[in-house]
Amino acid sequence: MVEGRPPDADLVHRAQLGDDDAIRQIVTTYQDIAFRTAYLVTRSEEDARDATQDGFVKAFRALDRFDRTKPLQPWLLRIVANEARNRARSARRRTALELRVAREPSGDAAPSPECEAVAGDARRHLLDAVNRLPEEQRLVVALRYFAGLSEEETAAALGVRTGTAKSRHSRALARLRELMEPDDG
Amino acid sequence: MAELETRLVELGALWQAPPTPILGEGIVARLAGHARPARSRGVRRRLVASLVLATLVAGAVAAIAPAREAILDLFRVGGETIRPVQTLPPARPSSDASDLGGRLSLGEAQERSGFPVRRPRLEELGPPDEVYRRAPPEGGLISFVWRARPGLPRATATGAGLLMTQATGTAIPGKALDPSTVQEQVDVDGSVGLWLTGGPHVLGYLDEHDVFRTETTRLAGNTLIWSRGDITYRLEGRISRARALEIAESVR
Repeated sequence: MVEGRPPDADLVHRAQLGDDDAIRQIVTTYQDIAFRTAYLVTRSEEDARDATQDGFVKAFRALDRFDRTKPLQPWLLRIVANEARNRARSARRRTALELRVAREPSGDAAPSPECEAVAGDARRHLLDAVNRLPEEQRLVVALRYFAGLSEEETAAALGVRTGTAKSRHSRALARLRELMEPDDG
Repeated sequence: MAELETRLVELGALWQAPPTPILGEGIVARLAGHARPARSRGVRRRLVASLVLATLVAGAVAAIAPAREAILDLFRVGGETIRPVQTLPPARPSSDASDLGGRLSLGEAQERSGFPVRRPRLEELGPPDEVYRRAPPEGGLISFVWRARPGLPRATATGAGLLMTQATGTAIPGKALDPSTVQEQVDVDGSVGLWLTGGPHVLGYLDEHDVFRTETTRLAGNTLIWSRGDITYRLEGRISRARALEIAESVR
């Protein structure tokens, strides 16, 4: 299965006509990536949930403006991430990213708090460095490597041009190398 | 150094977001309260063009004749009229309560209004510090003011911590929204409500010719608008959505 790339055009067309099943199917297909993206932006489960839901609702209401020949994911992510950024701006209770390991790597079981695992010193060190990046750079790294977004999707989620996202990405990597340096040689 | 990127990829693979909440039905339900694009798109497009709408408003209302729904669901919650505009009309932020009408007691407000006056029943909020009544609109516009206090920050322009208004009918104050105002449809105890944040709003009203007019009046903070029966309520203050909903749902 090609992840996140179902035949969107037909699905979108049905959703535009108000087909609830098509709407459900779009939500099911994209909710994970949308929620992960919103969570990385807000770093709050509650804000991420609200942003994802509001983003989907706004997206469906604006669906007649969507070009069906284009992929749906970057468009959805742009709207959801915009909702998330609005919330992140007002909320200041951000938590650092943590590594969690689920009991069932491929299952639906929620990771329990006790299950938080430090995956080796080197990884912990790298994660600390990511958390110490300036917010703008931290987010681009999180979206690229933690949410697994493409350059184009990252740019959409950040609400910037692809070129801008790319240069932020390069700066973030350079800064990460600096942060890693004392213990890296 | 590609090694760093490889290590980031490995790190990313170990990271897990919190479990994704169940969203599908909630989204479908929220969309169901809204006129379907397939049916009303043309009408809406024309409306958008003619009013130079900066934002598409999502408010939906049950108590409107179906024939007009396609247009009016954009603008009304109960009797409250919401109209997005490109540029806000001039408004004088006032710190006094003169535009709220004459001050009176809660009992007097109840006696002189053409509808049952209700108020929030949250213990920590208590009865309003000040009560005002203004007419028109017909039946009167009742305003409750709670003074700023810990947990109820002073709202920038009103000088109060919380303002709640209620009135019947359709010709009661509405709001003009500037493009930065974020509007969100919310559920208030089973009724459709609108939660407005972000931008300034200017109070205005629909006159007898259905023309939107503005009043020089206060600028509000976050606002929750909802209706119950034929009474429309509005809550304004620097409060969170959750707090506003809590207050609104205690109204009886």
